[in-house]
Amino acid sequence: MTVRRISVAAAAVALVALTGMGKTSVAPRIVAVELQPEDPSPGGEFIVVTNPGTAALDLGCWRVASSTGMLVVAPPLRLAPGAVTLLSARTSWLRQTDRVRLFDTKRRLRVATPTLTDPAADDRVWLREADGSWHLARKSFGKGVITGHLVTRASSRC
Amino acid sequence: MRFRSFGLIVAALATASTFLVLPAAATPPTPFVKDFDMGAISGGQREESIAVDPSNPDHVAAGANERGIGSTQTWYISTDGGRTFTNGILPNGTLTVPGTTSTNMSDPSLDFGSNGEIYYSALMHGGTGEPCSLFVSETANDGTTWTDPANGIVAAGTASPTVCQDKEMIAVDRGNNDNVYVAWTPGGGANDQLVVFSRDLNGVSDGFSFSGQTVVSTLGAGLNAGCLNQGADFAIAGSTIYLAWTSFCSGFSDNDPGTVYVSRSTNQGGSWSAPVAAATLDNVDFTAAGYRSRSFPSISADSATGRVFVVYGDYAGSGTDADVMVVSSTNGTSWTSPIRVNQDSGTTNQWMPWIDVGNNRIHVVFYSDNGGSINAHVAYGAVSASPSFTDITVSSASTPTSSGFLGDYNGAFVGSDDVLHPAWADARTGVSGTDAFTARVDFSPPQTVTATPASQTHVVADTATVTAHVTGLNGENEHFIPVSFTVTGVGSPTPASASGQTGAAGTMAFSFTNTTSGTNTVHVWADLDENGTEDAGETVDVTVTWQPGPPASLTLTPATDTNTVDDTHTVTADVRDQYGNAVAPVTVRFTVGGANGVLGLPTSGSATTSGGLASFSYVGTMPGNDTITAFADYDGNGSRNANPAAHEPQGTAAKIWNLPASTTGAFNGGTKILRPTGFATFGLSFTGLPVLGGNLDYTDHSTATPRHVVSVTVDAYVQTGTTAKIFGTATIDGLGSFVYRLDLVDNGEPGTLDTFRLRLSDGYDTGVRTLAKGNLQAH
Repeated sequence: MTVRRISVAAAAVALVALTGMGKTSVAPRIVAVELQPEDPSPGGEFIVVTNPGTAALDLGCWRVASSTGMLVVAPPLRLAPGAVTLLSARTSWLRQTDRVRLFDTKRRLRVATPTLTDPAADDRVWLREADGSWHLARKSFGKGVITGHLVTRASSRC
Repeated sequence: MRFRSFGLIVAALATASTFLVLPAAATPPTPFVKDFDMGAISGGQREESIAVDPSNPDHVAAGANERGIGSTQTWYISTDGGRTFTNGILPNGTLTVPGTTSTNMSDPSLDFGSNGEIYYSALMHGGTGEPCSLFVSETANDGTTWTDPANGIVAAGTASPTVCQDKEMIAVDRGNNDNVYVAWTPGGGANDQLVVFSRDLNGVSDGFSFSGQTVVSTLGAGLNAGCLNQGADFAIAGSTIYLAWTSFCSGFSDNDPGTVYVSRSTNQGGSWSAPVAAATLDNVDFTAAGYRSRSFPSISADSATGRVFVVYGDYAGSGTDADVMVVSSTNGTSWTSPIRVNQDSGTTNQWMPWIDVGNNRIHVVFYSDNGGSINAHVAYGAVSASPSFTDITVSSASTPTSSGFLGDYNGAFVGSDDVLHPAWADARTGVSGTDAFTARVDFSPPQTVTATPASQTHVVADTATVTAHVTGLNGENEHFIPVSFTVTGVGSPTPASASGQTGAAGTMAFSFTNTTSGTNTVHVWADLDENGTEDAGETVDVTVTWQPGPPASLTLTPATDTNTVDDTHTVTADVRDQYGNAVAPVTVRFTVGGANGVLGLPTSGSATTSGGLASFSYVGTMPGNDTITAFADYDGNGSRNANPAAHEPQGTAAKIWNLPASTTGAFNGGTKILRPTGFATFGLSFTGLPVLGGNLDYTDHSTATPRHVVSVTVDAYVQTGTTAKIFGTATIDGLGSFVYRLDLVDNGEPGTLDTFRLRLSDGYDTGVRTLAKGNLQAH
């Protein structure tokens, strides 16, 4: 399956569906944050985001902020209800102590993590529980995780 | 974008079962696989590099990221062919990284120098976004000491701009003075995300002095053409160095496209060719599953043909699963089409391959994930432009997919003994976190055990030596194979067992002794498959025969006895060596002294022992005491040497001859018998029971033995028909008291048919004589 190759038109339709009626869609949820991976290889820092709503959600062109600045979600990144995406960048973009904020295309803050500290360069990540609490552990997100890219510049499609 | 398939697939399980390594029931199969935990260490050890000393295949070194102790590096060194390892933490020395106080280390890579030195490269780095410095440390004493990483800096990280020197590999050019080559990818700075190269000429011998960075990934326009070039790996084929890496120009998440490039240098890294695309791929990254991976290539060259092979992970196989692919080239410019290395049915994921080519064979280690568990596999095939592979599981237990990070690469190295040493991170049951695992994948496994000599003979208390020899499929000597010896049979063999390992010659000797004569069987077990269980084909029996030692004791039985004269007495000599063993055939010589000994008949005899026993019988004719003496005539010269060292022990027994019961009867007569030198005259008259009585008057008139015998007493009178035996005492020439015995036979008339015999206790014996004149008359 090549979700990545979804057409620009389809993405635009989806974006209108989500925001065009002036309603705010259900906010995505950041469920995992890897602040300090095992080694410094690019791509080791990531967040995992889910769509808890009942409607599809396109995170393309959303902004992700950390202590190092703002990155853009490369479009399109369409999440069906319940879908999970792993967002990473090609350069280091998180710090050992950091918090992540997710802004929609209207630059509205939609979700944020608390400030978290990853004490060791290992494979444990910060995980969000259903009650909103966070703890450090290993986690497999199973099959069907959609990979998403964080880039420094918004594409012309944003 | 592509969805990965982590699902549990029943078909895959069924296929995987065919890869299981079954317990060996007999001699080990080929290849023979046995895996080992290189160190049961707390925390996690993963991302392994492994190398084998080219001049000593039993010398193996490995390294891994260590997390949970100091987040540094753990080294592992084996001197027994990868069966057991010592381990330790790679020292920081005085190395520091600008902009951070962290001493975290990552990305181990190892190679051997020409003299068994171990070169170890790694990064020291801080947390996310902090610099990383790349260094080389070396040990010439198997980890006892390491050179200071600060004296082996290949490229230092910087804090402004932030530069992390990342993901390096090392190669030691043993054909060129142990030049040390390192290639890596800086993150940040002038060479951001490019593959760069540095070298140190002559290795550690003159200290480390690494050259400035040379950019090898000269691709496209701009700084890095928007690409991440990473995962550099070396191969050396003669005078050509190959360097392979993957270039990701559209991200490097799962399923993002990448290209494997190869560049060459023919002047020891002085310059590099333009990169050539060897293959394209879709990146295999399982970060979302909790164990990040990356489609980095691994490259190795066949020294015989110069063909160079590159393996990488890809989604190019059938279905949506990840596969391991291989391409090859003889010149580095023209590459074959990819061939799938793993041999699964196309529904399970294989990734993170590492290759080593040697002994005309391609070896690739990789992970295989059936959706529920992960195993380490090795695929191998003959060197060819279009190789075909056999795919086997080398991990004897699975790692759960929930184990977390397994590292960005595995390791593999085949030794000159045709044993492949793969290395991988393993979190099977019983392992805390992940441990660094390896296996011996032996393509010429132990096949035969012999023991020599098949039979041998020794004198007791000597030393018998049995030598076990274990050889491999190709006839080579097998070192470090467990061998045990167990002795059964007679006596108390000392020691009765022993165990150990074969030495470099493939042998182990066992010596023992025994003081009991007989046969011992020596059961030799060489645990060819090293599973601790005695299997068919692993044993051989030899025999050791112990012969008795020289005679040390001789015992006569019965020691004392009483008989009536004219009975037959048998005495038995029991000849033993100093340990009590019945002595093998030896002549025993008997002599009789005392009452009968003086008469000369019989006074001696001999017999040969059988089972240590020799018997001698004689008839005592004279009443009184005999002493029987016997000795072992060890040297066969007929006389005894009393020196104990002559081994001619002696024994004695006592014999008492009693007079027979008397009868009735009477005998008289006399006149003349002949003697050798004259004649004798006699007169006699005796009566038996109820009252013994009578007399003898005998005169030997010969010149040789003249004497006058007159009886004093009559002690026994036995008459049977016309034959009589008469015992008593007498004087000789009027003196003393001598036992006499008369044997008289009345053969009718004329009297010259009658016989007369007189024996005296001084040894005088007339022998049986017919009367020359006169007559004997029985009544």
